[in-house]
Amino acid sequence: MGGIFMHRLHAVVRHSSDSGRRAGRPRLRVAAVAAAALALAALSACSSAVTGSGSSSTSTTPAATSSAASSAPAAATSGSASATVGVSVVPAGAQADYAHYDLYAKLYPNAYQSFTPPSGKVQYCESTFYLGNTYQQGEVTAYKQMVSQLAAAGKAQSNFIVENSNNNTGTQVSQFQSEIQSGCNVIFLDAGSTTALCPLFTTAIQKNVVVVSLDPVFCNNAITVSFDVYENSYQLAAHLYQAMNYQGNLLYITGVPGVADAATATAAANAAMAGHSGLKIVGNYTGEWTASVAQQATAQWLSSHPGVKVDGIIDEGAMGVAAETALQQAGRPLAKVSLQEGDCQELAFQKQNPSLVPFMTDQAPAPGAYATMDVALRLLAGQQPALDTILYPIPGPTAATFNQWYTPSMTTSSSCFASPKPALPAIASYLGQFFTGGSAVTSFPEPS
Amino acid sequence: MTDSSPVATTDGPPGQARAARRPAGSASNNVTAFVADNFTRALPYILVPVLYILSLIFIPGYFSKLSIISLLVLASLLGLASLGQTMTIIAGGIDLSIPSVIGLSDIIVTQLYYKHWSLPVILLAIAGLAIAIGTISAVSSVLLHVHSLITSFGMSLIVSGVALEWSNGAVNGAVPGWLTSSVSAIGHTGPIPIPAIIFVWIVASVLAVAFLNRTRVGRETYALGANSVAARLAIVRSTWTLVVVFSISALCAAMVGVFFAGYSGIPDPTVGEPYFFLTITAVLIGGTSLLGGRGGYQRTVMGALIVAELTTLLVGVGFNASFQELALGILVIALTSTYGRELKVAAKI
Repeated sequence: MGGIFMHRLHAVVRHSSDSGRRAGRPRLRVAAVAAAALALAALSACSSAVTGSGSSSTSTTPAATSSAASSAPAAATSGSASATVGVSVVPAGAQADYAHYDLYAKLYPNAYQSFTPPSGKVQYCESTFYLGNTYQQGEVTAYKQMVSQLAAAGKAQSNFIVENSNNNTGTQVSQFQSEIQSGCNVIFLDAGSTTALCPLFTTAIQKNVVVVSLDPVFCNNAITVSFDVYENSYQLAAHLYQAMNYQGNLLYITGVPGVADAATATAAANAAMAGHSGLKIVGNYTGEWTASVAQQATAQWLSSHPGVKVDGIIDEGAMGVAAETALQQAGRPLAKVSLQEGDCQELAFQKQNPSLVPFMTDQAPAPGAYATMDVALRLLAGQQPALDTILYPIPGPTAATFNQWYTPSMTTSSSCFASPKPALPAIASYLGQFFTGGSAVTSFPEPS
Repeated sequence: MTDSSPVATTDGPPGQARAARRPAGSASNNVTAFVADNFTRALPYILVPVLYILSLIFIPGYFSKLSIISLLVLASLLGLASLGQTMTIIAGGIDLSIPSVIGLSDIIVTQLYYKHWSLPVILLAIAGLAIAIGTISAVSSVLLHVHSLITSFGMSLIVSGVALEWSNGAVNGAVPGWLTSSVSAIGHTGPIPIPAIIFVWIVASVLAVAFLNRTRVGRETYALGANSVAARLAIVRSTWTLVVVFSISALCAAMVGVFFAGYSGIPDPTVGEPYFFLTITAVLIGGTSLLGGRGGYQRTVMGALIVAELTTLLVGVGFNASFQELALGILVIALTSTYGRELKVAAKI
């Protein structure tokens, strides 16, 4: 029964205006406000008196869904867009991680040649599109922890300014502008639109403000620090198929249909399946990147397919353990699944069922916050990036490192995220190759 | 099951009060009107077995205990969540806070049980909170002279904020095993191999129908929804009635939140989101008027079953989520237009 009417509608509004892969999962589970506003619009003409967020949220849809290469030209012409660059400018040691970049992001040249690092304590800020859900709260917490450490070292203002536009692009534009004007030196960005803020990126760079986006934006003058959704999805699927010996029935649980991230993940999983005729997708439905929706949808599928065996589950994020729970509650054997959230319940599931989880990655909020902070600190130290689109390999536990991520307090009922610390050294080391010049960054704060 | 809502007594049972109002016409017209009237009323009750038979035809092996129980578990969750919505809509209002109350309840029960709180204490706390939420929605609607659409929406935002703040990005949760069993298709209720939520839904349905039809507050709910001005002039206790129905709505939502905690075992403030519109869908498909004053929970039971059956059927025959929504949308429009036509015909004849 998952995904009926307004739930889907508000989810599409949120997801379709989402440019990023992490935002495509937990952050976008929540939008009671968007849902309520849209329902009000549908149910009563007085909706606009209650909230004005509906129209501006939807206005970003066309641009936001354009992470595929097909929409690149339109996106690139807006705002302060500049010509893209090729993968040749990417450091040699990172080029393998850009193998499918054109299915997810666009590469822009370094726009920070004239950037002058501010003197004195740095004011860190964040502009986010999303309602303060679990993922968003985790992200803000990580930033606050790192800013506190910098403040204690005398390198930052102690307050971390966060503006949340509550799924409203128009509000985010206004808030972002306000942050530029109010003295923020570094703005971390969770954009609801890939293009709506482009003109303000020009303003920001003119005012010597560093903008570091957690998701791809389709114009220059902001630096993107992200990982490649296509590559991650491909690896998750390929490992799952291999673990199944390329034989058996698969349930395919997608994110929100029509959203760029879901399409990218689907394309990657299908590409990994090519040539393996022994694999059969017996069920394909949406779980909307929401565990409860996925669990109900899986339960419904199982009840309507009583004789069909399930050998593997393709999970586009945050839904794998929920689907396994549905299998368990229906009295079915558990299936193999690749997991990618890096949250406590997935780690607990892996601990209990190691043979069922061939591959895990970790797209939790803290490692992403850490990567963006790392890049910001390098820019503040006068270092110059090779380009403005930095894609890093997504971290994740392996059989050898699993116990660095897992703690016994984690259960399959935990909604927390694992400590990011095991992921941080590799991220810092990887990002270093993108920068030249400037001075060394003497202290990297770490989220806990 | 027959429609025994007070509408039948105030607005006339099928073919009696209406017939009394009708001017003398041809016998064939009267027969046509009578058949149309009763067919419309019976439509949801007809659809339930029809959809089940279609499922048996199109889904191999569907006639199995697990399949039927799975269907009933999903319908129970929706049916319970829609119970209070039915009452608020009959009273001429609507409760938009149901999803957020479900989420808050889910968070509270999973997190406090994880912290070794006594389950009865947790349930009492949740019930008290739910009654407070319902009361505030209702009283603010009366005091501020605004539709409950607005006040319950505001309450939804407040409750969502509390749930999000409570979860605070990183929480652990736990639920007792019997709670998980109570919503699992392979669960037991004592020695009976049927999950408890189905029995809870049956009991709640009987109580809800009795409440609406046999109690003073129930009748006042219909009167208030039919014409709030006239109801007040008739000394209907409008504030008290709204407080009761909105409290029942919040209590039902909280109960669903508790069941959801058992269902998924995960503290998730967003778990109720799908019920934002699904509850309204079940109420409308069942035939309760969104304008208030007509309908009954027995109809919503049918609506919840229809939604669950139709979705399962479409999943079973391989239609994707988009088509499922399309089908449900068509069904809502088709049925509600039929119900609307019922009123129009009644008014004309």
